[in-house]
Amino acid sequence: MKPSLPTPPHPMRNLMLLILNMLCVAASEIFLTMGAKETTHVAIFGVAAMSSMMTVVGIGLQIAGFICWMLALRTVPLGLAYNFTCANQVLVPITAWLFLNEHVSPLKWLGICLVVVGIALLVPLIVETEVQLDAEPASVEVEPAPVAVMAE
Amino acid sequence: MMTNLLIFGTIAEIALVIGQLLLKRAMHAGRQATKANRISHFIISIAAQTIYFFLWLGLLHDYPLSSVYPFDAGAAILLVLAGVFLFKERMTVRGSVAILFILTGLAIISFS
Repeated sequence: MKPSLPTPPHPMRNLMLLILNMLCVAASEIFLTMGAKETTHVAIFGVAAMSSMMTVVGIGLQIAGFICWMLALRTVPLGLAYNFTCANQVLVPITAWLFLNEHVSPLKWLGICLVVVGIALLVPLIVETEVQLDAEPASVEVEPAPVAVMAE
Repeated sequence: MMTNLLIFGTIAEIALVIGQLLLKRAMHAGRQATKANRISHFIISIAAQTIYFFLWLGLLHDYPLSSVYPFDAGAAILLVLAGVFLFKERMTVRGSVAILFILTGLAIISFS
């Protein structure tokens, strides 16, 4: 009987992880802002904002985003991954405009368009990282095997 | 008030960059390292990012989101340079152009 081979990761896995991270972080920024505004007194370390339910939801979303980020970072180059998640710069002003009634100027819209073009150029490079991982398997840390003691 | 934004925004970003670099070292699939080494990097990374997080939360209370968020652009440049020089990450022409577009867009968003 042939041993079953491990299933190769989905070619879009890294991209999906980074998009999930972006969405979680963008949503958490909105919740954290609402939580910070709900509390009457916040020192420079915003611990007092923890009393708000909005802040708790924001922290939960940050943790979910962080897990996606850690998994993607195993193979995606740091510079590419971080800049890809800069798409939050697009999501945050748009969501702030939609839900917090913050103003977005025409020049800011131009900046948003440039970021979108940059992201579109980065997507194939991030997908390639998964292909490269398949081609060059990561080194595996080998732990010393326990010495088997044969019963005399 | 703006001085506070600059000082604490910069400290927050430095903490973020240190945290991200250590997290990459802890998680990098192709790196030979002991488990203890990876765990210590991971813990210090979490500590640095916790400092960043609480500073960020305080700044969000005092300043509009659109003013605070562009501080991440500085971190983006530092992380690209660190990736190339510390982790020997390959930077293609397409990748460089993409990052240039993103950073130009971020600069416009920051100063508009």
